[in-house]
Amino acid sequence: MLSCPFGHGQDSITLRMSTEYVLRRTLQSVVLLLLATIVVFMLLRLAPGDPARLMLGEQAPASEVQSLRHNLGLDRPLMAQYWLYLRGLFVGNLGTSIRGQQSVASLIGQALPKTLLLVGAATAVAVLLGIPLGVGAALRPKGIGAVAYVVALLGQAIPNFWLGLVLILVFAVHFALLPTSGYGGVAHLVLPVCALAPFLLALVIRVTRQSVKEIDLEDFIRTAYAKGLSGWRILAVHNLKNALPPVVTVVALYAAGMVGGAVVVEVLFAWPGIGELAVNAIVERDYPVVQGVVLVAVLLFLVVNLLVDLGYALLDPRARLR
Amino acid sequence: MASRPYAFGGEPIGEAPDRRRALSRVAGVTPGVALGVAILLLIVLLALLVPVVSPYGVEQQDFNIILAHPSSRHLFGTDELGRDIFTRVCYGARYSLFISFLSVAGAAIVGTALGLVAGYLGGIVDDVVMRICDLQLAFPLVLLALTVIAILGGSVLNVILVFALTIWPVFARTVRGSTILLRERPFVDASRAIGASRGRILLRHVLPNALSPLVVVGTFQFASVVIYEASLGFLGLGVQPPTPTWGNMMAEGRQYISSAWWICLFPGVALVLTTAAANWLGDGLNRIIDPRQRA
Repeated sequence: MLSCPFGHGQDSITLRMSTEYVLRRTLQSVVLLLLATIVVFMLLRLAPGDPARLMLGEQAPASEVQSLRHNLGLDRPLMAQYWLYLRGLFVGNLGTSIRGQQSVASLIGQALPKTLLLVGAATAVAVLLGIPLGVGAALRPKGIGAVAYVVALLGQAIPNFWLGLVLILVFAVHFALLPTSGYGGVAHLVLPVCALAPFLLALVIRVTRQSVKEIDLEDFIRTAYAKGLSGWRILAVHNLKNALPPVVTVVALYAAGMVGGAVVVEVLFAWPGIGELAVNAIVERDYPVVQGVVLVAVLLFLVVNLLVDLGYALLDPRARLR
Repeated sequence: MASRPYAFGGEPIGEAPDRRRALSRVAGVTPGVALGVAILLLIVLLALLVPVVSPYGVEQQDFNIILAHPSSRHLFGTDELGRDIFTRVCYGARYSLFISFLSVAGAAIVGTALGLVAGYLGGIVDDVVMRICDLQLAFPLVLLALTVIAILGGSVLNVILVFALTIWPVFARTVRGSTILLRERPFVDASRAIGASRGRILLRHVLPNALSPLVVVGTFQFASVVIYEASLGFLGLGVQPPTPTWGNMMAEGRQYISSAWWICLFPGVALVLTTAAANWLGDGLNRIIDPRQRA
């Protein structure tokens, strides 16, 4: 990649590499997103039946179906239909819901913030509990480490919807402390977050533990101890600074995946996010809505992935060469 | 990378080092692995032997004892049709384990084949396969599976196909990584030099050495697919009742949760035990093949 590293200032080399890396990596994401639109577009074509017929119902006269087919562009060749779809996407047109006649974009616009709230809260809980537990597990394997180990084991193994059911059973049905389901104040958020957070919590604990332990064996940590620095200072300044980037990566990617992956918990708690929107749409065969949700989830995942990679390259020049 | 002392020429030569390593592998069995294997064996045995163990049939209804509490006669209680939950959980294990195992096996075969080819050939083939992996992994798995199942219908075969086709990239990436490291090794050079065909090199020399990480990944993926399959069933879009799967049993029990908690709880316990066991097994195997992970 670097034909001649000499004769340039260090900064200009770094800068040139960064721009090239940023461009290459961004282009890759754009290509992936384009491919994803093809997959999502074809998903609808997989479905049996005529979308126009689905929209108008069984009783509608054939002429009406015909004219709607024409209006929707369904009588055109597949390539032209895809082009139409893609052009729509560029101006934020995700299509129209077959059932409600509402635009898919506005449906997602209403649901997405609620999903982000849920996922954000669960991520915050997982990070705030997981990093201290992970550090503890790495440096004090006997005391706090044992607790962290059990939490990590359970969090990884218990499916979120079953945990949700048990939580509903205990806190909503038996003790009647919290609402079973629905969207509302903080009280409504507690149970879904408790169901959703443990898996990510387990992941944060494991990654933090591994990462902190690896850094703890490095020579510069030994040097820091030899200099007589305090344990806390070494942990904060020398260890965590190096150990946290992998944790951030895992958290960011997993949280991005959760946007489209919190489906079951959203349905269980009747949380009106995009997962619930998608499942209802799947049940009602409202495929434009399904397409929209899947595409938004993919877009979010790709954007976060890109940001994580670029962030890495910014912090660690070695990552640019991969 | 952990540095291991190598024999002359950079490679452990002959049988002796391998045998010693095999010994340490046996010695690496942790309580977690043992417990994991024991739980999985128990569940498989119950699934196979349920007609012998239980006096009730899977669809046998008894309207005299609907929604009965767990008792000595009905270990896990009965559901709204008076069916024995214990019996149904055991039959459910057949479907849940069978579906998950075949999905993982299918994904492993597809992923391994593509990973081997991509890693060994490199270049444009590698780029294409890896971009397909990236694309696949960018899709929300549960949502994609739900959509495809809703379109194609929730038969056992469809569920297996959907999961196999959504998780193969994980295997492809793992095998590709191993292959890239292995293809530069002297023993691969040597077989290339004596004129072995590509197929022979890949199958006889690269694949056997790439298997251990594959087994670990497979174990973890098995745990995940058990959960995904149950999620599908729970949302009513997986294998359809009356065929019992842990997911659809929990979905049926959900409406009785305030009066008969055992209907939802026990299929879930079976599910948790299975995923926990598979995870422990995976952790243990991972520690055995990667000594850096040992605490």
